[in-house]
Amino acid sequence: MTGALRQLMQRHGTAVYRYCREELRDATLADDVQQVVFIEANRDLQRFNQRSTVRTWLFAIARHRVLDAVKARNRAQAHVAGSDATEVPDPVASLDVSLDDARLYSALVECVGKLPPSTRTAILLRYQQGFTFEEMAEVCRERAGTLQAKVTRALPLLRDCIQNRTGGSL
Amino acid sequence: MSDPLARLEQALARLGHEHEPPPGWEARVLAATRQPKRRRWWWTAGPLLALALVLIWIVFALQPDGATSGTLALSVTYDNAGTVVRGAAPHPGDRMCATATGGGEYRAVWIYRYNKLVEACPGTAQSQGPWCRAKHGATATGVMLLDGVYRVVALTASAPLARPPLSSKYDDDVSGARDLHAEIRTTSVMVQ
Repeated sequence: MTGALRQLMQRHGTAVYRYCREELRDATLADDVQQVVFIEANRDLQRFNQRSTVRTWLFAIARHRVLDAVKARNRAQAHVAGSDATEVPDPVASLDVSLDDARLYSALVECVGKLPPSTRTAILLRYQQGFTFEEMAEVCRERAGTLQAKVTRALPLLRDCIQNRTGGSL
Repeated sequence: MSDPLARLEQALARLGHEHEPPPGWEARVLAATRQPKRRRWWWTAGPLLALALVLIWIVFALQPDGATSGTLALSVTYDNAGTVVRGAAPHPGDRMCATATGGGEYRAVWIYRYNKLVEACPGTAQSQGPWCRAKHGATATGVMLLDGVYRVVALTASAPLARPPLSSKYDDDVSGARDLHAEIRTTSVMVQ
């Protein structure tokens, strides 16, 4: 069992973490959620019926735990009015090319963060994780066509958002 | 790449790639999975409850009739000039006290000499004697003994029991009580 868990973590740990991080925009919370995902996966591994791929199954768990974490955070923030636990995107973190790219990247992170949660999930699963719409349908328990429509509608919105923030460049 | 949407898709594919899970996260997951599972209380309580029920059933099933709390029991004592004697042979002139405990809502004690009713508690104006008492879940009565063979009957039922008349016959009364699904305990007493 431990061997299977190790393999799961090695293969999918980073992807799950990045997904959680972009969904939650909070490194500590993403770390917690990522661990919970693999603890649950380990617990349910024997019941995994292989109707979907392991990756799809893992991301379905991750999506649920992210939703739980968001709810918990919203409840906590309701008690601490005015606080903002989400991270301010750090453009320098992605500075592997030019300053323009860094500005674009920073705007992209912000604009993705402003998408409605279900649309953000669809965008992340589709582009960050490279899922097909059919796989996304299994993860989100929504119809593939619905998810495709969400993604198609979100792209121009993202483009406009980035262009507004960067002064027109994309 | 000139198409802004295509460029956007490319940028989205790189989203978050600068982030790596914090060091040691795999070890923390492994440590968490090695912790003993917290047993939910009903996992333990369920089997224990079942075991307790089985034990209670065994204890009740193995006990002789009448000894179980809640079921009908009959006890007989003799009073000789103020001294209460249990188990010793009674003699004419002794007072015999019969007590019925447990059982259903209605209880009665009937005493027969040579199969004819001499005392019923509760009974009719003729058959109920002065020592008939019913309180605190017990019904008790007594008779002054003559020589002969006595039969003491304790009865209980969920419906009111008949009040047999004086000198009615043991067999008839008990048969009538059985028809009412009464629970019955009997004991015989030889007085000489």
